[in-house]
Amino acid sequence: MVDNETGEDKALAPDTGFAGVLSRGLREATDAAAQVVRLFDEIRPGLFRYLRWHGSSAEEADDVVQETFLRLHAHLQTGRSQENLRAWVFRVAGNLIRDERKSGRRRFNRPLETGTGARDAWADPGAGPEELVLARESTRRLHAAMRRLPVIERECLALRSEGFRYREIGGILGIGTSTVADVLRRALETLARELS
Amino acid sequence: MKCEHPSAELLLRRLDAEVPPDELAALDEHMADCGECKQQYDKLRAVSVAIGEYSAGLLEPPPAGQRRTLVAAIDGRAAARRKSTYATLAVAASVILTAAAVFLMPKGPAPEPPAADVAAGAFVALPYSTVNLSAEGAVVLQVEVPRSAVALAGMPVNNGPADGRVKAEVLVGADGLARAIRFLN
Repeated sequence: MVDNETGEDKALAPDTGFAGVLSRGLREATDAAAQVVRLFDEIRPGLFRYLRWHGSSAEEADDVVQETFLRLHAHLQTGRSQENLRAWVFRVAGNLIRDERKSGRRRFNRPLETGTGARDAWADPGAGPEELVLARESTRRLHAAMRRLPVIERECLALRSEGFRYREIGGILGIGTSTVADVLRRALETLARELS
Repeated sequence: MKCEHPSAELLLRRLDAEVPPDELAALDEHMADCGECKQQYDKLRAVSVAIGEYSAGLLEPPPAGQRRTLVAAIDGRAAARRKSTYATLAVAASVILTAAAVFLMPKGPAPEPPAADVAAGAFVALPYSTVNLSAEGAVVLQVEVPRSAVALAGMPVNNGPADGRVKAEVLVGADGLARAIRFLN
């Protein structure tokens, strides 16, 4: 049967009727899965770092990453907003890890570990042995100062390191943009003092 | 004239490109002439670089098979969700077809059910599809609808009471398109 308005053959249009509903449902599920995998490849490194800033072990961080992306799949399948999914992922992961911390299911808040790949932050490539020792001492002090920062300051620093704008950080943490700026200023001033 | 230094927060906002464009020129002009602010700005930048390097060092490669595990978990949850969705769709379809039967039947004689020999056992291709397409990855969904509604939809059914219900299976291909329907009674 040909549609008078569109000229299309209705018999060839699978998106109508009961069969169409079935078809669309399955197609959307497939699309959502592909989108989740693509976002996983893109976001996993930053999300893993963010969770490590929270004080979780690598294993704990990977567990939360997995659960977060499963929730993302459910989110996409229900047709909810797809605006700024990266920020959505970080918000959900942060909530998950905070919930686990509250419930005591995991041992969070362990001291931040020294990043295995972190260089001596203040080391001049052309510096002599004495300067290198001083630079290492500065880096050690910086990491020690980071461990003492309040959780909210560490969270803001971590999200800033991942390139989020203040407005996005506020959205992820549920605080105002001006609060984000104030928290970041306090954190950076604290760390800068350690290096004075 | 007293020098009005920008706040530490404004310097940080400048570093993070969070200063509104209309404030930027005046701030940059001040920083170009103020060694104190320039020094403070450079310190914030150096600390930021150190934080970034620290953060980069926290990354570890994913455990082997993490991506595959995620895909398998998605498939598992999606299958469970699909089952639930199809059950809902089957109920919805029954309601819709019943309503159609109620409103349409009095307007004329019910069409004579055709082809009793295809009524049970064999899949009947849907109009836009063919049963000869690959069955790989296909799933079969069971639905139950009123016999009269199926007849009104022009599908072949056996003779029987108009108010009886027909169990059917819908063959859905791996591409998500419904391919064919088969009546079970």
